[in-house]
Amino acid sequence: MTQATTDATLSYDEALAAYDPVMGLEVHVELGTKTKMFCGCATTFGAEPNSQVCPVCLGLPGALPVVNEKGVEGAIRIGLALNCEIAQWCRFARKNYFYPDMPKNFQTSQYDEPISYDGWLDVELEDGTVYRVEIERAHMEEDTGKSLHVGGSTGRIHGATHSLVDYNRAGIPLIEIVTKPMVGAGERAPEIARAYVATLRDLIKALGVSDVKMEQGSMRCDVNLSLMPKGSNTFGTRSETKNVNSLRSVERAVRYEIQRHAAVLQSGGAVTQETRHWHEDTGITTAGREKSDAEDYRYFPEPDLVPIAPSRESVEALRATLPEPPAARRKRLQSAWGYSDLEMRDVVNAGLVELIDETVTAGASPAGARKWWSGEIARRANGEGTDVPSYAAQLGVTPAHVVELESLVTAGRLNDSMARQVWEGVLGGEGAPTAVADARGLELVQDTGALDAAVEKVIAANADVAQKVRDGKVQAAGALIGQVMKEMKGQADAAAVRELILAKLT
Amino acid sequence: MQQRFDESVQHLVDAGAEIVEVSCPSFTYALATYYLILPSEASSNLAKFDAMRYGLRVPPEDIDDPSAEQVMAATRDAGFGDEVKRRIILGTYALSSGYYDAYYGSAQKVRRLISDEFTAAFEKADVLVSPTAPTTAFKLGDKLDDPMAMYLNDIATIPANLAGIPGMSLPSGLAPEDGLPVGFQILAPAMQDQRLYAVGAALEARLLHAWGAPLLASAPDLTAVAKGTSR
Ligand SMILES: [Zn+2]
Repeated sequence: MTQATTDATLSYDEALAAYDPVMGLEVHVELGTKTKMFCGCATTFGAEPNSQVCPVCLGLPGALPVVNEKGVEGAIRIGLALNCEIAQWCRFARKNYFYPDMPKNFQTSQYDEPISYDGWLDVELEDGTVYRVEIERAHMEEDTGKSLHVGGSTGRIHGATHSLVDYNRAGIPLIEIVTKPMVGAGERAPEIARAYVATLRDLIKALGVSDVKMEQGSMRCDVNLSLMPKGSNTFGTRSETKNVNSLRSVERAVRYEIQRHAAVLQSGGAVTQETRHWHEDTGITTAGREKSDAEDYRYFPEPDLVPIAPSRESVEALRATLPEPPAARRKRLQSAWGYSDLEMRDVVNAGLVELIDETVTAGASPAGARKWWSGEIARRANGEGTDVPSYAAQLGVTPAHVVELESLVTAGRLNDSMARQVWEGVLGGEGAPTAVADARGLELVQDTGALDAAVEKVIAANADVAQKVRDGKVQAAGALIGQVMKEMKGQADAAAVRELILAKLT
Repeated sequence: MQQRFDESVQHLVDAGAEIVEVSCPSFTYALATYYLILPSEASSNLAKFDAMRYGLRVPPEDIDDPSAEQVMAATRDAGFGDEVKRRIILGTYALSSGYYDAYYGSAQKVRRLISDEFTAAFEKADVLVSPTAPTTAFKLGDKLDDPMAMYLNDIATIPANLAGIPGMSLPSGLAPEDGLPVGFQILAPAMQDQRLYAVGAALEARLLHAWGAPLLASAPDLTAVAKGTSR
């Protein structure tokens, strides 16, 4: 069987006119512990396949697991940051299923006794609206190995001739964060989904428990979606779109599934309960495993591990280590930087908060930091389909470069347009600002003789304009300034030119 | 059997022990409990023998292009013996959704009761003693067709396994009925293993003194027993 057909979709507006989406998000976060959850193996990303394995994480008969204390602490800190209750007593559970990426053929997870439950996370949308996402649970589990299916056309197991498995990832601590069904999001569901994942990412990054890199798989998202006819309170059949691994994809996947479900329902059909594969390139989902015969994982408490019973004192001690919540931090920074609500929102939406904070800390003005990080570099990053922090890291452009550039302006060496040229050079890999300015010969002319001559020349050549200025029409000086700047090949300070012209004519 | 047990108890009394009787009514369910919990865990523990990483790899007959699941099934069929398969099937069933609460869940609750009854019993006594098994050893392979009879032989030792407490068995003489050794079980609370050695050593010293030689000296000729020519 090949999956070649594309499903029908309804237009987004039509879909929303007839149905209310109900959305649930499951986010997996790999903790950045030094060792795995139940053994002492290293967790370095990108290591030689199967070089970070041992009898425990390979499931050798007779090997016994021991819980990683740091993993439990990370789980509790995430739970606390999500305003969850922390279990007084809970256990791990075995999730049994036969799949080659599980060395034991069961995954050590948690079932009906999660470490954290009943929390919430406030999510701010682009227009400033705050939506509260209710958190069902955040539980501990271990990651699986990574399979590489060889020989098929799709890279999936179907049609493959053989599979290679890398168990380096097997046993890495994972926190699965599950939302309660989100009802009432309406047309903003895709936007809310994206904002939730972004907010969660920032929160967990601030906790320092994971590097939450979606592109490296240390944060992965599954999107559950169903529709109910407008006015109904009964949830429809849901689909579960797996591995939607970028913020943009989360938004697109929700949108696409709303449109697909709506088309199925509108045509009188029934939505199939199934997992769906997300295709980043085409922006659609295709059918995966059908789930109608509800897979039975035969969960039961893991007999090889002791229960986890964190004392209330230890939980409070962990609560005391929580950093300032990102939302509160943003408010504080906004006021410190003197940004307007709109400016701050743009900065947040562009993911620039960290970069600007670092740049201001390094000595730049808040206005300057915002100006340089949200200008040309943002335009280029957007063109590359990435964000500014990633793009800057890729180019090797740092906060120190912005500080240096700004100091060249304040020291009077560069004017604004020259600074822009220097910045372009920095982005183009020509080096640090001073080096770029030197190499490109960009420097305001300090020679007053040359400037004076240029001003005299322009006044003489534009006698009528000069007369207007003499007559008190000061704004007419603008035309003269432009001429002088041209005469100086841009290498003059416009403010100084203006001053000189006015001094001569008034 | 009873005679050997009573003699051993008397030896302990002679050594200074005080005898109290305790009642543990939930032990009646120990066997049923054990044979739900053990197969459940075994079904999960043995899942790794799936032809992918552990165990044999047996391709199914008459299937040209077998799926991974078909290879797993053929391998597990070829590699596991009857008793192992029986336990995997029992355990898988006991853990299945819809049956979990009735089987595995209930068994865990009874296990808790058994553990609580041990705790209560150890309030009254330092160690508990009983026969190790209801009968002397049956012949090898004798009960293969009757697994229930085979399981029943473990009835006295299983409560300790469920509760996670230490136990010891030592020979207390030969049964007059068949001349085979009779086991005497001593149980102690968790982390109190030393009580087993103290009581076991006291009993063994008195038994040896009574027998005048190790038990093996009076054991029947087992080759004759095996041939069925003598009892
Ligand atoms: Zn390991």
